[in-house]
Amino acid sequence: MSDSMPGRPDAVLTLDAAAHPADIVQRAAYRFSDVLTVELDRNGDTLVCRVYARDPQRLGSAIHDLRAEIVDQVLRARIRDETQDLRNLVLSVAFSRTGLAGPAA
Amino acid sequence: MRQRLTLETAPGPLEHLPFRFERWTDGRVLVTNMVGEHVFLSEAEFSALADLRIADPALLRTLRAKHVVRQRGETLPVELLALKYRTQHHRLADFTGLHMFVVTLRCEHSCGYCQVSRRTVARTEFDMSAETAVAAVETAFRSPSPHLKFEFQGGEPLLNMEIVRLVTQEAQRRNRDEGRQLAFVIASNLALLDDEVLDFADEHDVYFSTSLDGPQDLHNGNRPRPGRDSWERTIAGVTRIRKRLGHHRVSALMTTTAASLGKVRDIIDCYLEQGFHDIFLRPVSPYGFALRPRQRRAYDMAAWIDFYREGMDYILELNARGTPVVETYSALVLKKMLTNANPGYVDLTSPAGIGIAALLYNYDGAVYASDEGRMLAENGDMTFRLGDLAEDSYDTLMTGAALLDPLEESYTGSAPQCSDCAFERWCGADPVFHHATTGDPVGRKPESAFCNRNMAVFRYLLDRYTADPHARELFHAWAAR
Repeated sequence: MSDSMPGRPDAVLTLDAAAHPADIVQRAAYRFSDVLTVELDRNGDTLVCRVYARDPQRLGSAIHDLRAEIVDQVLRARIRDETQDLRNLVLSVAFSRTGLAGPAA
Repeated sequence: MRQRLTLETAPGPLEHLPFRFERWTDGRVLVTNMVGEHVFLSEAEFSALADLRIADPALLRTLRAKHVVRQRGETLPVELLALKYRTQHHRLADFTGLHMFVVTLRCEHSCGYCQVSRRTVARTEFDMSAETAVAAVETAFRSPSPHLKFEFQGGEPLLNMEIVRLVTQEAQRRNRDEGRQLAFVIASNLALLDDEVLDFADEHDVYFSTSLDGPQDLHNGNRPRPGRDSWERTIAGVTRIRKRLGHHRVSALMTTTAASLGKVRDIIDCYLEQGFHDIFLRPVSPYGFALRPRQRRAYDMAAWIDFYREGMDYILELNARGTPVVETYSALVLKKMLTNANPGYVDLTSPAGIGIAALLYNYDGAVYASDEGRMLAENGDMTFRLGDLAEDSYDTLMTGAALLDPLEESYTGSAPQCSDCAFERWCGADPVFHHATTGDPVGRKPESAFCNRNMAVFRYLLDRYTADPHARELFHAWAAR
């Protein structure tokens, strides 16, 4: 994201970039996009997440919710990656003999 | 030679199957598998699942039975998940089953929340022509679906019975060779119902769907017409249909307006008094005439959610006292939640139901991907106009970007947040709603009234299902309908 966000952030989270890829943090932030917006910057091994509250009065609980959601998103990503082959296998079995799951061109 | 049975006697280590989860405020975690079967876990149980360190044999049995984990090498969970997933999608192969005919825009009502740019009774230039009607029937029969439902809308379709008759007779004529299951429904306020219409409905097995917003004062306030007697005429029409054709031949739909809020018990009581045991607590739609500044956002979704919860509490109370009554939307959700059947409700499918579950033929020959797409067009937004019966073939209508792009973009398996959502298998994509409210077919889910509404319904139903044995039993009965 660019640095075009006006004003100072309402909070800044500093995260280990290896454990918290930007995609994970973006997925977590999306779930609270009615409450806050974020700006991400990669700085070496660190991911800096600047948080802007739509409603500053709700910021306190929103930050805790965002932190908890980032942890959940890490788990979601792990399950997604671990089970990707199985998911594709289920889908291929489900749609076999339908003509929809033919070999790729 | 006798085939040897292979038994999986040497299971490998435990591994996850695809699953999703959402946290509950009481500390429980909802886990759903790839086909939407669910289980609630405590925080400790969920941690054990996440780390695959499941010491409790009962928990392990539950998680294996729910296809959340398997022992590596087991094929049965994959086969069962595939079978269930395929079953949930079987309607896709049938393609479009619902065909809506806007036979006229004329109407003698002037409802404040009407989604259609209705025209006065004298404006017959807003009637569907015979040529357009026959072309629409031809297009409907191009769908491979073995079940074709013809729904007549308006305006008020009884103002153009000539075309209702033509479409019905033409469809039945064609079907002598095709042998499909046909159904006919007139969506009418019933104010103009007469013996001729009843004779026709009797002869051709036509059903009626009417609007009933609740008690007399609420209904007549929502649905003005000359004489201020909409409720009286609707009730009289319902009575005549039941007497002549049978109780089951007419159903009713309500729309929640700002005036309905706080009156959900009265509305449900009214339905019961009139002999309707199904009620759909339906929020007002953000389309067409309903978008006019005076009407817009007469209430927000949070108010509707309170309305729904109060209504459902009352419905559960009534059932517990021995009065059967079903909330239709909840029953549709529960069918998806508790069975592998797909009720085929257009708003609760992904890929979205536009075009592939329903098509709408407008009075002027325009074809829309949904009723709501037509309503947008009445306000000048042609996004969901697929083409014109006079110019476009069925293939052109169904393979154009106007249909395929929003279908692809709104697919919940890949849409932001939806793809991670534990409720995804029970929910649906609604590209028309999101286009109407946010300008794109996906929308931002945290701000989406569609998402907020469905999340609230799912959470309410699960809370009652897990906390209340009577509700649990009732919900299974609703799901099995």
